[in-house]
Amino acid sequence: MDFRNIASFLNVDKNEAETLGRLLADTVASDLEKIRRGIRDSDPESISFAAHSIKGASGNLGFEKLSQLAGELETLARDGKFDGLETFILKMQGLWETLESSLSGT
Amino acid sequence: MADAYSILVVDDNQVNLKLIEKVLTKEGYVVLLANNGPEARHTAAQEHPDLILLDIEMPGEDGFEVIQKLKNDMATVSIPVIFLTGVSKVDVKLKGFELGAVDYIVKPFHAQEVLARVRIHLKLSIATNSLVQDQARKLRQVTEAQNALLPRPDDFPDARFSAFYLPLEEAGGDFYDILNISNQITGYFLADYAGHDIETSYATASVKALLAQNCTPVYSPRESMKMINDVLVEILPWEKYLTACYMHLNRGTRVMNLVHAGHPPVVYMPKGKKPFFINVQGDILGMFADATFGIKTITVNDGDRFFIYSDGLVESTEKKISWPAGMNGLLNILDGLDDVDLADVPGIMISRLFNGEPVPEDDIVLLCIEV
Repeated sequence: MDFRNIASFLNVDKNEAETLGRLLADTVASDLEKIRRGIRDSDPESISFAAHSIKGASGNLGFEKLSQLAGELETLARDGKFDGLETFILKMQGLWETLESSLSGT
Repeated sequence: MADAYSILVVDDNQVNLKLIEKVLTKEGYVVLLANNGPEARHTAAQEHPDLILLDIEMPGEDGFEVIQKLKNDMATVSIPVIFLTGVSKVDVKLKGFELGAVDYIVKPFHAQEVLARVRIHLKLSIATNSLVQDQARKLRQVTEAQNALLPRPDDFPDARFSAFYLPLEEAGGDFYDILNISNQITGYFLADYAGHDIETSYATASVKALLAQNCTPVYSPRESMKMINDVLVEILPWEKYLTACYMHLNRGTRVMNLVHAGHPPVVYMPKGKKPFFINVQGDILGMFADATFGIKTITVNDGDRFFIYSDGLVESTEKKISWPAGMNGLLNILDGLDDVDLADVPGIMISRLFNGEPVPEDDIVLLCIEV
């Protein structure tokens, strides 16, 4: 998962890709926090809403794995299934850290 | 250089907003951004973008609620809306189409797909607007043609009249005509065609021709109306008719004959005296071959004034006031108008009736005539 992929995927230059990558990283961090809070509060609606946000934004920038995980998490939350959500969060957290590292290394 | 098309993008997710902004800006579009429903509606009403890309799932007002409000607002109703959604279920899409969306873009989307759909719907919008403008131009031509048929006081100085005319649609259902029957005799005709659409403008031309043919010195006013009725019965579409009033004024003999065809009563204001209605019964024009028309003959004097009008002046559907009830206020607004210059009288009457702001629910025509 590399933000530099954004440049070729969206046909934008390096600076624009960096801006979008930074925005995505910040948004995903915020949404992951909302998901954790939703699990603590047993609030499936806010979990699915935040997961939906990650799914769309990451998918639009070409981060298919993150988008797919967020989509599955959204479906589980919408169905009221809380078991296994933590696993999804850990995987998504890992992908987010990769993105952050990629951005920091520029 | 042509003006750039403007596109309003509405999404609560900053990544999506920024992404679409970059994609569209690169292609020369002016991009407006909103991250919630109320902000989107405000921007749409203020800036009138050519297209709106609208996210469905947003906190607070969702996309469905936003589009409903946009379509209920005259300022934004015609702006095409494309939904952006991560939900690809058919029932969700159908709901959006039913609410007025023109298309969907399912997230995650590709930049080229967004551009392609934006281009398609801008082209459709341009074509639609072009049709609308073409129709409006044609209707304006009809309006101009109809206005050209209406005589102006300057063209008939001996007829001594002034007029107020305001059609509800581009082609009004009311019209009037002035007829120079002889050196001493002038005819004043005012009619209200049932309906006020484009069809009425053609009837106006027909009746004007019939008046010219039949309002001559050899026919009495009632004979003229009878002959016009006979032709209209033949040529008017089924259930179409006119109410009309024909005033035949001989300034030489000072005799005024008034023929009524189901029209609101004329107001007569003898000089220096209080105004009153001239009540005459008569059938409508153009419906019945055996119609009869009432006639009233009055000996008049210099300075006497007559007021002929259409029902739009005195009735209100909105306020549930029919013209027989609405007429009651008409006599009151004539106070002090017997010495006012005739040219100013219609404007003063309209101003008094509508408190300075004429907002017609129907066509309005008012003829003020001085002996």
